[in-house]
Order: sequence, then structure tokens, then C-alpha cells
Amino acid sequence: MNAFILILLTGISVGCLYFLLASGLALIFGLMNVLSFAHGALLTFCGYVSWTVVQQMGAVVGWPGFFLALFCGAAAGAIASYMMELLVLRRLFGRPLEQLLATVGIGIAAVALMEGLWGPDELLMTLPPWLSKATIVGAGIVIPNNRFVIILFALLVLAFLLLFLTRTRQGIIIRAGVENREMVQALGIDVQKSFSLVFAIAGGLAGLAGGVGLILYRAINPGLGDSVLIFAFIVLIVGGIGSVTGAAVAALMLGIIQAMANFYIGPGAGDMLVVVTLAVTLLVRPAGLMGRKGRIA
Amino acid sequence: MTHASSSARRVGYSILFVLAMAAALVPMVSGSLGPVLPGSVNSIGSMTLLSMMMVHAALAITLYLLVGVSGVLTFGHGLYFALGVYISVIVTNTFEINYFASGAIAVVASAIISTFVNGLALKAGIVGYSMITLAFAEIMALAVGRGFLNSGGDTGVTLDDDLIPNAFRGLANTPRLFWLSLALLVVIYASVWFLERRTKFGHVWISIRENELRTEMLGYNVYGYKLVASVIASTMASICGVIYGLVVAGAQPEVAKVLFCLGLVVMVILGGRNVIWGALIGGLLHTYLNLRLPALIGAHEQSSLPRILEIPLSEPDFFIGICFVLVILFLPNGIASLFTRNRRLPLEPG
Repeated sequence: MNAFILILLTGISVGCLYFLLASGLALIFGLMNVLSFAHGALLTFCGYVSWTVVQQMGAVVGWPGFFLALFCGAAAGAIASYMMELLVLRRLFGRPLEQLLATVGIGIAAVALMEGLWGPDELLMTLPPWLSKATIVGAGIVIPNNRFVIILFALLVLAFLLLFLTRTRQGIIIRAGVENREMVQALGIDVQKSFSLVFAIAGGLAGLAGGVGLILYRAINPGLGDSVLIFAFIVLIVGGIGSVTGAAVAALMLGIIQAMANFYIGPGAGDMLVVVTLAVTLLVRPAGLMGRKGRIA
Repeated sequence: MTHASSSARRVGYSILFVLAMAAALVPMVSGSLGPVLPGSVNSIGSMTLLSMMMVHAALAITLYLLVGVSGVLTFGHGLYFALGVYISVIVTNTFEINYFASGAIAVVASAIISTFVNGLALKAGIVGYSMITLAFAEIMALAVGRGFLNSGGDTGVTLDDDLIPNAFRGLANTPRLFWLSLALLVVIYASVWFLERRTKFGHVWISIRENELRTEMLGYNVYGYKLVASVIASTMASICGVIYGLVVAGAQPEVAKVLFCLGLVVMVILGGRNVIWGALIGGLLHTYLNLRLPALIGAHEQSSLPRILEIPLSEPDFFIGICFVLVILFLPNGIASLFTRNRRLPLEPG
């Protein structure tokens, strides 16, 4: 029982990581039909920014310092993502395939640069002491504390994202843009501003994903983001491309499947099973769980 | 679809013919090109480098059949190359049979896997297709990384020396590997050219690239034609893999990595996706930069470079990635467009 609950919570935590990356991708894709292959590199970059900030603080990190590091990571992600849209993708407007390819190039270059700057090996992350401990819940069930934080974190982000999309003017414009971009433009609304905003938000989410990755794995390496990115892609397809809620459901489902199979069947089995789930989804529901063309939230 | 006149085309064929003939004579050249090659032209190091470049170029040309001819953007093409390398090496080592016999097994297996993967992935849209193919390639990377089926994990598998066919065993036979790679490149180039220009399939593929909806309306089974293109291209890719396993005498996990798959797309786009020789240029150049750039930089005095320049230059992928983005922004038809008058912009799926 102990192992089962631990693995379940691990699966949910991994799912949260996938969700943070996939939700940003879903927003971008929903609004602009652009798929960003640079999103994994963005996660890694933000992780390294947080890691560097923590590194400056010395051997022990308290909560304020830790949150400052996470905030710096998210801010770096938002800025980097915004710059990418401004400098490269905007020039390729209306050519989704070229935009996709450009993000591939940016991703390759960024990962190589980070490998040069921080080295190819794994760097260990210093966390607040409480995060490395475990809590005993009920009869002999021991849960590492970081799982709680990650899940809480993801719930907050999901709530914030849904509130933003349904309750704010900019959020409503973004959802309207997903439904029918031309109509929104015809109403005299500057969609370009929404594009930039969506990229900044998605970058911030990737930055938070970098923070969650650090909390979960307690380490970072240049390939971290890209390995998460593949699963985020699968989450996108299974959830229905462009749907944030679909991404949340699929991320949770796939995270749990992956963790369970990796533990009960054998290491690596979960990764395979995730792709099998992808194949089954494509056969049974080609549009994904919540896939209705062009819907978010 | 070329706008070149027939005489210009004849000049092009003559250039390619002369190039192939000249390339065949390279192992006889004992001169040196300075730091361009690792040693004199016919040294073991240079021969291996050139062989690897040619195999990768052949692989890029098989991808051209999808990206360039049919307008199908796959990010998982490296999967079939990796399958070709790994299956032929592992089967040879395990059952101690002739390398080319296990190569044949690898090609058949790749064709079957490709039919399954592409049959599924083509059900999704164009963006979904690119993600799903990448996901399947990642499975290969994960399986290899964990060392499933004796794939050796991070160290890879070395082909048993006794099991390498006699004609290609030992350092003295490196020129033969060079000729084998050259032959592969010529055969793949000719086959893809023939498929594109001289078969009904080629015409339908081009029409799918130009306007998928219209092709569908004309009554062609677009899904079926795309599937045929994918399976042919993947099968050819696995043949390249079989030859590559022989050239490097083993299987290394690098060929199964996602970065390798993305690199293949970079080759085709960098060289120019509108013409078959764009993939040839891209494949040769990308592989050369990847394998040789660190050594070229190292040939200069390290200390003379400021640290800020040293990092990007010692990471070939950084240089390649930046070039790739610049090409997409400012030279959408790739390097090949520098040599043609064809300035047609690459088409978006209609």
C-alpha cells in the first residue's frame, strides 16, 4: 500500500511537470497554430537560471530564497520566450511550418550553448531542507514532501490559468482568437498583443516547469527539457491539441501510467506504455480526449 | 518541378557524373589538405570521415523524398536509420551470421515498423504527424539508452571483428568502405531521383505537396500515397543504417537520439528542400561541421580566442542551430537556392 501511494503521487507529480509544459504549448498552438520545439530548451534554461540563483546563496537555502530562484526562472522563461516571438517568429508570420522549423533550430542551438556554459553533466540542486524530507501519513505511509509542493504548485497554476482565460479581458481575447482569429481582428482588437502575451505566459509556465523539474529530480542536465518535451507532445495529442483542460487530464493520466508501469512492470516499461497509449488514442479518438478543433479551456 | 531548361539540366547531370567519378578516385590521393581533413586525403581518419559524410548525405536524400517531394515533415526519420544500424549489428553478433544477411533482416523489420508507425501517425494532421513520429523515435532512444535487447546502453555495441565480412575487415580495407558508401550514395540518389521524376507515384507526391486538398478531390488516396512514400523512405533509411553499421563497425547510441533525428531535418532544410542535391549538400555539410568543427577550432590556438567565443565554437550544434535559423529567415530555399534561379518560396500546406 505504501509503495502504491508513493508511486501514485510520483505519477501525479510527473504529470504536473508535463502539464506545465504542455499547457503553454496548447495555448500557443491554439492561438497561432505554432508548435514550439524550443520549449524543452526553455525549461532547461529556466532550470539553470534557478540553479544559478540558488548557487549564489550559499550552502543552505531558505524558503524566500528558493521562491526568489523559482521566480527568476519563470521571469527568464517569459522574457526569453517573448524575445523568440519578437525576433524570429514574428518575421515568419502566417507560415506555421517555417515557424516550427525555426523553433527546432533555436532549441538545438540553445541546448548546445547550455552544454557549453554549464557542462554536459548533471548538476545537483540545493533545496530547502524540508523539501528533501518525508512526512509519515497514516499507518506507515511515507511520502516525500516535494510531491505535496509540486501538486499544490500545479493546482495553483491550473486555477490561475483558467481564471485568466475566463475572467480577464486579455484571456477572453485569447480564447476568442482561438475560436476565430480573423473575426477578432475584424472587431479592431490587436491580436498581435495577444500573441506576445501568450508567448510570455507559455515561457513563464516553462520556467515554472523548470522549477518543478528541479524539485522533483533535485538535479539538472542540458537534456532535461527535451526529454520532458517529448512527453508533453504526447500529452498534447492525447488531450487534444489546443485544449488546456485536455492537457491537464492527459498529463495526469499519462504521468500515473508511466510511474506505475515503470515501478510494477520494470524500468522503461512506463515510457513504452505512454507511447502505446498515444497509439490507442489515435486509433480510437484521433482528435484526442477533448479535441474539438480550436478550443481552449 | 524545376524551371531549369533541358540543357542546363544536362550540365547538372554531367557535373554530378564527374563528381561521382572523381570521388571514386579519392582513396588514391595521398596529398594533404591541411586541417580540413584529419590526415592526408587517403588516411584512415579522412576515409572514415568522408564515408560517414556520404552515408549521412544518402540518409538526408531519403528524407528529401518525404520533406521535399511529398511535403510530409517527419521528425522521426532517424528511427529507421537507427533500426538499420542496431538490428544488423546485434543480429550479426548474436547469431553469428553474415552481416549482410542480418542487414536484410534489419531492412525488412524497419519496413514493417515503418508501416505501423506511419500508418498511425498519418491519421493525425501535419503537426500531429511531426510530433508522433518524434515520439516513436524517442522510444528507440529510450530503449537503446536502457540497453534493452543487448543494445549496450550508453556504450553501444561493437561489431565482432570476426563477423565483419572479409572484404571490409581491418584498417587496410577502409577504401573499400569508402567505395561502399559512395555506391550507396549514388544508388540512393538515383533511386530517389527516379521515383520523383519518372514514376506516377512521384507525380502524385508532388501534387500532394503542392495542394493536398486538390489532390484528394481529384480522387487520389492521399493517405495511401503518403504512406507509400514514408515506407519507401524509411526502408531506404534503414539500408543506409546497415551500411553505416559496417562503416563504424558497430552501433552507437548517438544515432538513436532525438537530436540526430532533428539534425536530419536540419540537413534537408539547410541544403535546400526544393532540389534533391540540396539534401546532398546539406547532408555532407552538416555531418562535416558536426564531426570536424571542434577539431578545426582546436587547430587554432585556444588561448587566442576569448572565452565568450570559445564556448559557442566548441559546440558545433550551436553554430549549426544558429545557421539553420538564419537560413529559414533569410534563405528559405536553403544553400541550393544560391546556385539556382528558382526562387519559389517553399509552400505551406494548403
